[in-house]
Amino acid sequence: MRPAEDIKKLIETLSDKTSAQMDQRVRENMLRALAESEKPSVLTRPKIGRTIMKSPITKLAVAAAIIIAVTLSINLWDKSTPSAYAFEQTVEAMKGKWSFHIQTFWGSPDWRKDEYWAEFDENGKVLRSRQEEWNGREEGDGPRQVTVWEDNTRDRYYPETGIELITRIGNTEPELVEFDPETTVQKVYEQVENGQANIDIQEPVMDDRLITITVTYAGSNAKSVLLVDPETKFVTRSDSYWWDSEAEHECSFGIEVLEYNQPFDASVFDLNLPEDTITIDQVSQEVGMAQGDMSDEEVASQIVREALEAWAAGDYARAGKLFGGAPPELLTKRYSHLRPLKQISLGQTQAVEYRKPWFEVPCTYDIEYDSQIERIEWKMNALAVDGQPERWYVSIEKTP
Amino acid sequence: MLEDKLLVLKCRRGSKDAMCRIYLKYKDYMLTLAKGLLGDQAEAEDIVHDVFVAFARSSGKFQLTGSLKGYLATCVSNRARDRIRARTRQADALGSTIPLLAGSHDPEQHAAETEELTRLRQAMSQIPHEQREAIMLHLKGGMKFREIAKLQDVSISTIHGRYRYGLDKLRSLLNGEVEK
Repeated sequence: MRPAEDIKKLIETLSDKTSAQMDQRVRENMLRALAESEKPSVLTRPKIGRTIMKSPITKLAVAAAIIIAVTLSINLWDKSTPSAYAFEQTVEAMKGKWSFHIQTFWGSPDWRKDEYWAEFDENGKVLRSRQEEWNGREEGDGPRQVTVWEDNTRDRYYPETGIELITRIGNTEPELVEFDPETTVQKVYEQVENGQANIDIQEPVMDDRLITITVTYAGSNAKSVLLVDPETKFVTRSDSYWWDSEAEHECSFGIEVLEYNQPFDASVFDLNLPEDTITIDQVSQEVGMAQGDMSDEEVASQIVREALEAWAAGDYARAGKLFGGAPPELLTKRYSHLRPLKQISLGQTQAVEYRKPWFEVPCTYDIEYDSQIERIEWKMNALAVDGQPERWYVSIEKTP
Repeated sequence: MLEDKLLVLKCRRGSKDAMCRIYLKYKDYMLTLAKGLLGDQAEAEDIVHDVFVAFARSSGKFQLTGSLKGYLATCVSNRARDRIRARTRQADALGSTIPLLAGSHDPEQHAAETEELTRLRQAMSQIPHEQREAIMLHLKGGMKFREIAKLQDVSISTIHGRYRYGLDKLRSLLNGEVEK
């Protein structure tokens, strides 16, 4: 019998070398891509001017063009002509938004963060929404999690684990409001009113289609760039830039509006789950354990202890309730390899920063693996149950 | 780590030299990882090529939040997963029962390897991709379970389970035991 250690060592000896042809192909295409990436895009419009003006010939040509343009237009333009566009128009227009489909990203659209679909009532309150969290994953990987919210119920699916968690939540996740372009516009408007920010409006010239609003903030290197549709006055894109002094690089975050005020197909708000999904329903049943007189730390530790004991004893009805309303197959199939034989000890609970109480509880216990007893160390998660005050549950995964 | 950060900063400013240095530094590492995940030399080369071209294309806006090595390993892993899914879709479309990993290795590479390594590659091709991924990223990618779990957004226990089951299966396959 070949021991596992031998196999590990064998895997560690795997070594592949690139060929000279491959090196040449990658270098050529990589350097071409690098050169192309330096070509400025619409979003880096200010750089276009700087790049063009580096050339002395272009400088002369531009200077001549400006002189001609000024001479020709000096009699046509009234110096007091007001700008055709005012930021207030966008503030007002955004109030007429009743649905949007947006995409958020870090750095560049290559690093997609979230995609949202949302519908609002006449007062701007969310009626229903769908969020796909990508956080850098590519199209073929699928999102990390998908959430549908409607009628105070949040239905979230975790594709990696095949778990669906249904909870009662009275308001949507704060991110939706934070990423709402209307919120961005409102914030900018207030900051400008309070003297905390300045805006510079560049209306479309030549074949540029969008109005560019650059927002700079008093006493800060941060800036935001909003692109506005001149017809609807809606913000179609928002990019925020700031300097991270610790990492010594500029960070950016973007919101791109893919659709405004379009009716969505009902399937957008349907999770369409695979057949083998394990559903943890915290809406139609009482789950977890009551906190009683215990402190948060005490109840976190207590519920993990009781959940592990019930699991070890094979009492899946009780264990399932403590594990947040989990059906038996969560423990008998999905996580059967983690079933405790004997509970050994729990460590010091550690608070996790979240919108509701959440503690990590280190556990050490024995499992049976490969017909042998092995000791494992890991962390269980004890959290307050959404929509069931004073009740706590245990989650094996960190995500729910 | 610091050297990598500096190279990334230079790449952001369009340095060809820095881009080439990153390629030289990580090309073999990435190829080994990709080939371990896919079992196919040509596909592994394509993945390394695609990762570097995509990296170069986005380098102007690229922001390194963790280690460059970890980032590149994640890119390889993600693209390998795409390829596996594409193969599955293709196999489904053709109604084929061909194994997901045909193991079309380069004959020259084969000749250079010991029989033991060849058998290992064949065995690797028979375990589920998630398990192969956990094993390769941990043992060849040099990533900790915590890092793999964070990258894939699953718990450490899930990654640990995949790793253990994967090794267990490899051991059975290499010892000639029948898999059920």
